[in-house]
Amino acid sequence: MIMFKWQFILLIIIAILFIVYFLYNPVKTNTGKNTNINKEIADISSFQKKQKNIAFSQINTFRWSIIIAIIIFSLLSIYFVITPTQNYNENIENNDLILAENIKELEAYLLENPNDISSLKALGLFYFNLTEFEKSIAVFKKALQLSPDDISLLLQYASVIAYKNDNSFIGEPQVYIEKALEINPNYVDALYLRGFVALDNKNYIEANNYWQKALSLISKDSEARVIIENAIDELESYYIDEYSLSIDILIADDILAKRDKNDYLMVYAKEVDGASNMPIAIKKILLSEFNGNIILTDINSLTKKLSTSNQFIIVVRISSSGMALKQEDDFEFYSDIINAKNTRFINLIIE
Amino acid sequence: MSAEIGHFSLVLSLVFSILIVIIPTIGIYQGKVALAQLSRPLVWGQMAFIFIAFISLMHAFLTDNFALKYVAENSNSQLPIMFKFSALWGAHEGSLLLWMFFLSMWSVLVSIFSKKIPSNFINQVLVVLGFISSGFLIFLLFFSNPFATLAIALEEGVELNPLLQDIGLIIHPPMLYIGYVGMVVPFAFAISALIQGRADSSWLRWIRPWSLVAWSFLTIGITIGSWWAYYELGWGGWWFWDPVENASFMPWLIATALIHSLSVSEKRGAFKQWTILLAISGFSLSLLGFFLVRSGVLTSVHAFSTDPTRGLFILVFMFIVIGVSLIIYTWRYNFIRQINKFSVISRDTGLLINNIIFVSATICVLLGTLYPIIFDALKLGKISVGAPYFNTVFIPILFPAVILMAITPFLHWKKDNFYRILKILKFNWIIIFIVCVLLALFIIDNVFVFLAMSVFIWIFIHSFYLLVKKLQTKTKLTTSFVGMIIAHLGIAVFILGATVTTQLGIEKDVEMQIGETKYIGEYSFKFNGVEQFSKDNYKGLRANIVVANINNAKIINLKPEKRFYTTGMPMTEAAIDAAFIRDIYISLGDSLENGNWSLRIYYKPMVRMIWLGAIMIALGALLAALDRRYRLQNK
Repeated sequence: MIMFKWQFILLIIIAILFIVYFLYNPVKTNTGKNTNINKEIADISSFQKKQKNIAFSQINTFRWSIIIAIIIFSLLSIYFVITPTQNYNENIENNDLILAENIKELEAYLLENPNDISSLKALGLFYFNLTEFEKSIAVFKKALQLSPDDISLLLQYASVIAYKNDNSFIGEPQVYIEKALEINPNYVDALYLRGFVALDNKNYIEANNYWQKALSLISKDSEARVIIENAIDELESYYIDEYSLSIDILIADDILAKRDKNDYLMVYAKEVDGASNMPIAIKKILLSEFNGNIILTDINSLTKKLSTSNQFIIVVRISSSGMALKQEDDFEFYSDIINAKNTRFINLIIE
Repeated sequence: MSAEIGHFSLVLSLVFSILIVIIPTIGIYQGKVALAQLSRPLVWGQMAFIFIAFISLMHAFLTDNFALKYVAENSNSQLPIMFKFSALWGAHEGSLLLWMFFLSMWSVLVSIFSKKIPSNFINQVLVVLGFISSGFLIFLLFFSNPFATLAIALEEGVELNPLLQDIGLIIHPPMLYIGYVGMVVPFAFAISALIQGRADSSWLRWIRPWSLVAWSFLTIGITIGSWWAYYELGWGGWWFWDPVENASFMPWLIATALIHSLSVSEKRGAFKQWTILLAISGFSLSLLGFFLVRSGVLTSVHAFSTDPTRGLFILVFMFIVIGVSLIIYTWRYNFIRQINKFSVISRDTGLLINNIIFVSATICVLLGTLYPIIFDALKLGKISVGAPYFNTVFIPILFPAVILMAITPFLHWKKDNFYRILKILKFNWIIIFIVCVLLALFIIDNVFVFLAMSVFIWIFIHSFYLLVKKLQTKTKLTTSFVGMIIAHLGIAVFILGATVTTQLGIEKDVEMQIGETKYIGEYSFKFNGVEQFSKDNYKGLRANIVVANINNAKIINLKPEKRFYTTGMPMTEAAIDAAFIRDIYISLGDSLENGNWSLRIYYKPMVRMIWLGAIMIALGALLAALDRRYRLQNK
């Protein structure tokens, strides 16, 4: 809504004076100058008669000035009563009309309450949902100026910038995410987003670590858990592009017959000439979930990257306890020595 | 603040346009001169306020006022200043303000240059214009306000569509809108004449220069649009039968019929029914185009929005304007009904056939444009009507008009006979026949090019002979006559250019590795690689291609570009070597996996004649509008 200011009053006065001037000093009529043309007019006599009538008609100029001024004020009043405050619904699909309505209401509310953080957050999110990132960023930025240590705000702001930058968390988003983690190092959403920063930097291990930490902080039935687990699964697919060892394992039926379906299958790589006895990379799953193939990547590394080892062996262990140290009833199988640089696929037959 | 003043000015201009409808109408029908005569000052005031709004919005663009939603969505601080200027009409709201600006400008021009027209009549015309303005201003303020603000100003705007960051945007919409909106003037004159029962020759004479100027600008606007699409879209095409192109083409076709019909009405007082109906149809088709572009029913490079509310308003407004006009036409039909006798062989008949042909051609385009929309609206599925339909149906319809165009000026009004025409033109026809036979036997082996060349010769020889005959009579050449000759020659030039470039043009999609040379037509194309560059608000890749003419070894260096604007939208910027007889046109495609590049190379003979012809047509119309007899009536 336009706020009335002295300039507008001045414009109205100019408009009224302009009309009133021409009421008192009417523009000269063309009548009488056009005799040549009027010759061609079929009903010339009636027309001239009408023109004469007009010439003799007088008006009460003052009264008409008042009437016109009233009409102007009335029309302006009507306009400002019925006019929409904003007009935001173009380029928005029907599904988004409700969102657009909410935005309208929030916009109107914020004009009156410009420092309301929760409304600013909501508006920023609405814009974000409509993929109007520039507007969303502007709103979040203003909210952050009012509340710079609000972690959720920091993360929302970082997310919008990242989305706007083609889903890249490097740069400005990273700064805000790290600021959020400084304020609360165990804030799950911040850890989750920090994982994406690492992912964008192609630091997969770091990404995995942040997400594992986030997983350790949330309950088992949390919906967020599924999201983070999916992210970790996807992380492995990224890593396969870097280095991966695909291991097809065929276990003899008589061995499997002796084991329980709740036993664990642990597959790990162990360096041949390494100083440590620790596995390099390990994957542990339930035997019942085993489908015949295991992929080890650097993401599964514990001590050093699988890809940086020269030679290693693959150990397949079936364990009822799933403990790191070999137990009495554990079954173990060792592969031949594998050259890491040349090998991407191996086939193990356990009899 | 300036934006608020702009908004308020726009509101005041709406108030003025409503006053134009109310106050002078009371004055006209109650015989109160002072009130009736207010129409002119009110029109001036309306334009002044729209001008203030226009300047305010321009100021907002030039000062990066991203508190305005429209500015924030269509500009950013990196945008070169010339495009900030033209971004004003780069999207729906601003272009509507430009539309209003030209509508008010036409109203003011009518009020100023109609001093010989009876005041009561011109006041009525201004009332009609005021009514039309009110409708558009209500639409502008309530559904498309360019001054709508954001609650929180953006620090940076989004971006003007990269397609529009071109000189074409600066020229094409203003020229087109002047023509488009100009169709309102003959409409207002026609409606006023019907309302006041004054459908006589005088108003027909007043209306002709207005129609000619509007038609001329419409021609220029469409031509520039075609030229812009040719070099900017990277497809090398100059007309796509896009529904929105058709939307501007239909009023052009009707306006063409109108200016010819007006010449009969002006000279002989005949064809009044035709002329009035064409004047109403011309503006009605402008409104239809307005609806198609701004309602969201079309998907097109021109389409502005997809808001159903806007579409509904325009549809209602369009039905009111067209419906009321046709009701008035029916009501007053007996006033304008006239039986003018003329023989089959006469100039009247020639121009009547011209009217019929142009109206038929318009119906053909209208059907092809609306059919898919109606089909879709009735949920009968999605169909596409494209170039094959238009080329097959439209061109044969217009062909007889082109043939008649050359002969009709030789015919007498009212009555003539074929033997007189045969006598004066037989020598021309023999020459044309011989030349065409020689062309067919020795030079041209393409039937369409042969037909186009024959039409060109036909029009050229007749026009030249008409000029010679006119000079022999020792009467003074009028600008109207010269204008007609130039416009008709323009048609011939256009037909030749369009046919030759379509039939003999070469288009090749090629894959090239650095250092490779390809041969197309009589040219060799050596690909020297691609370099990166950055400029203003975009980065890009620029290819370097050396083109050599095999026959005369003339070497040209062409550098087509692929640009990436801040929005990430890629743009192809074709490199064109333009010459009068041919264009060489290269657009850069994508980098391929094997390190090679894809390129599209066109050889387009005589393509420039398309636009040369169109400009000749527009120039002819402007010259005709400047005719002394129209100026005399205004003195």
